[in-house]
Amino acid sequence: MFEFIQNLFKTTFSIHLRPPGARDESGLLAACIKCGRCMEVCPYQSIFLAPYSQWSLYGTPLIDPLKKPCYLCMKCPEVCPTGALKPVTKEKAGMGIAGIIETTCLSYQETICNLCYRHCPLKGKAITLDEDLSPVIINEGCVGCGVCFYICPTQPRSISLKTGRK
Amino acid sequence: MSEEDWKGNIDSRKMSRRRFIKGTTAAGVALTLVGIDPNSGTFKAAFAKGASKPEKWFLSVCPYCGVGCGVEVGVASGKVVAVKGMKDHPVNKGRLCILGKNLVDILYTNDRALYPMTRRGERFNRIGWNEATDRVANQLKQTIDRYGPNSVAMYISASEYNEEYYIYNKFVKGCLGTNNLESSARLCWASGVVGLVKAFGADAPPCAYDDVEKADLFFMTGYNVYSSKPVFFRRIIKAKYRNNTKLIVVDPRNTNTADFADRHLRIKPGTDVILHNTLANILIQEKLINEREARQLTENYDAFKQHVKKFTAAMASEATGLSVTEIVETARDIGRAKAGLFLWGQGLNQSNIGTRKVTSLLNIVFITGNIGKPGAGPMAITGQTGAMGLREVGGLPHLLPGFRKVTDDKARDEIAKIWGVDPNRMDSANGKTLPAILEGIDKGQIKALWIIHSNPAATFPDSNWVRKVLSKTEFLVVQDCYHPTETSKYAHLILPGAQWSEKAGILTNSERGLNLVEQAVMPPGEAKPDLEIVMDVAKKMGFSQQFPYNNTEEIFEEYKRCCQGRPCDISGITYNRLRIDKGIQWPVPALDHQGTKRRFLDKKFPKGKLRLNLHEHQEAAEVPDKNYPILLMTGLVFGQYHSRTRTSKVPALNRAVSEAFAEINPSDARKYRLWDGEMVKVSSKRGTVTVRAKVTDSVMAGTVFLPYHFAYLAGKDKAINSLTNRAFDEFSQQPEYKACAVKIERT
Repeated sequence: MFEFIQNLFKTTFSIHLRPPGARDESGLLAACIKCGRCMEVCPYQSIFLAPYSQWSLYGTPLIDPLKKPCYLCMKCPEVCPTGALKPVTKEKAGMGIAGIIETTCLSYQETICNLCYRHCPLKGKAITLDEDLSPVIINEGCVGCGVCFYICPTQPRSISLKTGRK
Repeated sequence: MSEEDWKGNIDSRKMSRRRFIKGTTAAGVALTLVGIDPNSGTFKAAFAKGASKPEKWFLSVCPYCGVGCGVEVGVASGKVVAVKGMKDHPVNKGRLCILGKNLVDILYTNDRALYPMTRRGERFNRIGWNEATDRVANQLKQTIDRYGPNSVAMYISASEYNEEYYIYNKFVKGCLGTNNLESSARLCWASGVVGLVKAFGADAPPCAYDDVEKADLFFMTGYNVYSSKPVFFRRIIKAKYRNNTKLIVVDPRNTNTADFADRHLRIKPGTDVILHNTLANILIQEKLINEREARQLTENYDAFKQHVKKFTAAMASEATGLSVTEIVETARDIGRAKAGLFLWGQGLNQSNIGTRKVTSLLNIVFITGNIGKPGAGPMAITGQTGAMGLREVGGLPHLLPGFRKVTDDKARDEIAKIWGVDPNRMDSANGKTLPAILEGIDKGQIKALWIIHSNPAATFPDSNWVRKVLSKTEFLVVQDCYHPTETSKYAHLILPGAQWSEKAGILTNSERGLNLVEQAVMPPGEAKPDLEIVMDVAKKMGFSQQFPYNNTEEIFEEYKRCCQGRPCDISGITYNRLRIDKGIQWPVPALDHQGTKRRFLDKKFPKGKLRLNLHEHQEAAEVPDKNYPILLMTGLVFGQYHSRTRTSKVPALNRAVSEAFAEINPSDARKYRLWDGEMVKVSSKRGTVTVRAKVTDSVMAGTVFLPYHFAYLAGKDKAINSLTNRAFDEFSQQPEYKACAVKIERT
């Protein structure tokens, strides 16, 4: 029961990701000049700037994977003027890490879903399938873009997402 | 407290401890109510939100693809509240894919058609059933009196039940006296079926799903089965891992299915005939086949041997873009396999030489002797649930019930006797296919069209032209369970039909297995089961004698008489038997007969011997040129189904693919300076769409892939089929969706 409530919290409450290639939290806060260029260039409109209510983060870029995840097009680091977002490849985006909650994941309940595997921007490198076609996260490969978290069809989500660099 | 409120609380980080505890308790209670067991945290069944526990469970079949998974429908106080996989069903054994799991959502939507409507200008006004059926009957009668019976046509869906096809067939071919009864199977498996008929001499899917476990080679070509038939694919993969079965995938795209392949042949689009003939040639040259057996099985082996002689590995390598080793090794794999299962899909069918591609694949099956033994043969799994039943009942312009042909005088007499109609009333010429019907409307030959549960304005190629034609139709009746659809906008009259679980019938799946679908709930509003609507109209036209039925079981009993002594003999089947023997496979000639799992085990074929069809390769009808340098292929994505009339209503599915996209190769993206995620304009000679670019190496350079699910309801410039070409296969009249020339521009 406790575990379930814990999972519920992990999946229902929005967590905020930093855009791909971001420095660690203190480095980003020091380097970011809050120009909003990353937000403007994002073709999916995933990035928003932290509102005033989050006063310590105010103006810095965030991604809410419950509303729109990062599809790893890697456009934002290229336009960052101060290097708060470092230009890196998709595989080194380092936004966080996802985990599968096997107790609610449909693929572990005799349903063929695998939407997370099919739509992973790092197809095959971050999520693989075991012999039962159930998804398994590869910890070394997952960058925490949040796509699987966003599209997971169960309610609450069967994917947990931890933010921050590994 | 709703989930949204919760998020807001956490976002603003203003939650006190007291409110936090309150929220947790509320969540626990709420989740228990919606059917999640908090102790184990598992879903007991896919309960609808806020619904109570099901009081009664009904037998049913998933209405999506042709695999035919058994489902149980849970009903509480007259509403479907839950769906679960049928544990004792031989096809899926309790498993479902995500489309089947979310079936409840498709029933209760805001855009269900609830009552008959007539169009005045742009607006639709509600009318009564009596007025509606009167109008259809009078209009059809007037049109037939003035222009003859062939000025009327009916276009039905291939996702309906055998009884419904039977009634439509009897009404159109028996009562109206025209053979213009066409179905959406034309867009889906026409070439595959014509290929089977050309090779076997009769429409005959010989295999069973159980062959998957017995095979030691899967040869899949043009078939993304992981996305289109996920439950069946799981079985394939399980068998592959358990028996170490080899999986060869031929596909120009790096599909999800190809990820699992032992060998993926990334063939140049459209060159399948060359590959198949070359494989046959190598098999013969390297003596990997039993020639004596091949001569016994087939009627023209030596001519075929001579025909494929010129297809050398070197020549094929140049044409298909594969390496010589790849081709030769593939041929050796096929030759070494004791039992090979050959599967194909729309990659072969939806082409201007679709039938040639299919028959050239069947040639390989026949010369390697992969027929009439467990684990071997050609497996044809249709895209729509009712497509096999449609062929049995003859819901196509050239067929009559029991695989009879309309051109056969004896067959017409037999059927007319059962139907109780005058055989002279029936037309002796083949009816019009869908392309011919639409062209007929354009030229003024067809005056009235009745569309049942189909959406040609979204699914037919060159949809700008189709919309123009539909708006020109003198009398267009659209019978559908949803309104608006792309097609229903042009209707003069909308008749509200029932959909899955709101009507009863029998469905035949792609392994010839029959399944009962029970009516679980009443249709919403004034909607009626579709065959009742057609029968009402027929009675008003003066054919009450021919339609004396009280329920679908009586219709089935009459249909059974049409099948006696035919290949699809189902004399041993009753509704009650199907409640126990789920998925029993025809022929079932007697009540104590256990069904026929595999056909042709005795190697006795409809025409004595099998035929090897000799075909040459031909270019697509439209090839990329200077102005339109890119080849467009359309196809499906997992989680959506056909024109999205159903799946667009399921929120869980639409998060994954919410908008149309174009898969573009990175080298092309560089050439056109495109970035992943940008909007891009794709245009052909016929139309333009603006979609999101998805830069991926899963497509080849010089090709682009668009999902065909999106049409005008998704947005004015999102109709993918406004690009595709109106070119058709010469034998099957199936449109070519897999090849047309387009150009890409930045927006």
